[in-house]
Amino acid sequence: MEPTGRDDGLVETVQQFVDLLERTFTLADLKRHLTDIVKDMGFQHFSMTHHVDLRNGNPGENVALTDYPEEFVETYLTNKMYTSDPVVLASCHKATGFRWSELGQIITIRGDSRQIFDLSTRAGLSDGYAVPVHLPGEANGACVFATATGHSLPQKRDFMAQLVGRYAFEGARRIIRKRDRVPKPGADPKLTTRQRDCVLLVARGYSNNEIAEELGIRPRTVEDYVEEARRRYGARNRTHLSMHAVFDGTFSLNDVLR
Amino acid sequence: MVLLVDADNRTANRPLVTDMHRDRKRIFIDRLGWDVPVHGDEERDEFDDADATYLIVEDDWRGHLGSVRLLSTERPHLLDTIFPSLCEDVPTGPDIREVSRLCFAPKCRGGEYRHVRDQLTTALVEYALLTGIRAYTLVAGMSVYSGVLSQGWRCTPLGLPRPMRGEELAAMLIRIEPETIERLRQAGTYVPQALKPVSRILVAA
Repeated sequence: MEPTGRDDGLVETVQQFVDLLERTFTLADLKRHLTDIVKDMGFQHFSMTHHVDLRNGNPGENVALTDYPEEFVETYLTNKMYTSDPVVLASCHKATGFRWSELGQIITIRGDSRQIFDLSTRAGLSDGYAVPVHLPGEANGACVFATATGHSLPQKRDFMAQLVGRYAFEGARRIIRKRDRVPKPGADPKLTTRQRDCVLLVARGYSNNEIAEELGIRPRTVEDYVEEARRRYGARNRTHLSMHAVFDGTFSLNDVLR
Repeated sequence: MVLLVDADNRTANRPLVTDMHRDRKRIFIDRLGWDVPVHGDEERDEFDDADATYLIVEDDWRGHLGSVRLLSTERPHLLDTIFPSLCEDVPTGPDIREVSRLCFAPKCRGGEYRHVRDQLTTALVEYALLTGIRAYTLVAGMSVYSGVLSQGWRCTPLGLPRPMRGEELAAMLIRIEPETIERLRQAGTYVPQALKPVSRILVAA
């Protein structure tokens, strides 16, 4: 691969887009700017989402922005097709961008993915490039750029799409954060290190005695840590406490289930 | 707390620095398989010289929890020496530092990693504001790239990603401005009093 000198102004285009994002304060404007740059790159559509259940129409803190045809979005959400969407599934396994044509190399395409392909074809989406975005303490997400039937995937735009997808995703997070004024965890961690250690083991199904053994402290101390953590979250029980800690990113599902 | 370690206090903090180099070997060589120099159980390269500065998250009991290396952009550094193809005009100057070797100790557990990351972010901003640094440059793989963007500070791409050394790497510029602290606050990544006060920072400023 030839290393330098043939960017053809692509970096400048992304830089201008990034500058524009700095002055973008609504999702409607973001959608407009994305639509423009998506066309510049040679795609026709985009879809940018955290992979969570979006059916209730109120994604809250989660990113969900697309210009896919309405028919697609409607059917996709109603039938919960994200649970079998190979692009979503593959995004969870990849750190870097990939083309839809590479899906089979990343995951095993399941039989129930068929209906997604059919739906995409009916909606006029022929091919695409996905940029996974994995941030600790958040659901996995992706920014997907798609081509319409009759258009081929733009050549040599994968790397540009990587950047546009990542900056756009961050732009969406920033807008949503401001709009909802969601107090983010992190600035003020809810639990002390020791409490978090204990709650993580609670989430893994350990008893207080087992936690005590694992951490080399007394069961009574574990009980105090867990009770204080439960109180801080206002959680009803150990399960509720674990859910709170995962939800605010104190630890991730991966930490619990690995 | 994040400790600033440079030529002046490196010897005084020898155990912590050694701990950092050992964790860097565990992460970059053992876990990520980077092709970088190793000396016994420590990872260190030609840029880990007397002029390198480090921000190190230190735990009184457990030592090194995470760190970054800061290099002057007026001397040879990663972007101009190893990765010049990632950027057409490498930003250099007395008010620009390069951030590299962002490392989280394997001993970080669960969500602790996020707190360490936020402490490093805050310390980078505080250090820059105290010493007149206006920007950091950084080369990162794609998942780290998104992680850096999500910290809330203002980033600009310096070039397109390139497949290199088994990953896709890209260079970016992180701008440090008076409002950066507020941006971190809004992103939930600001950690009050992250950087341990060291009198000579103030002298240098």
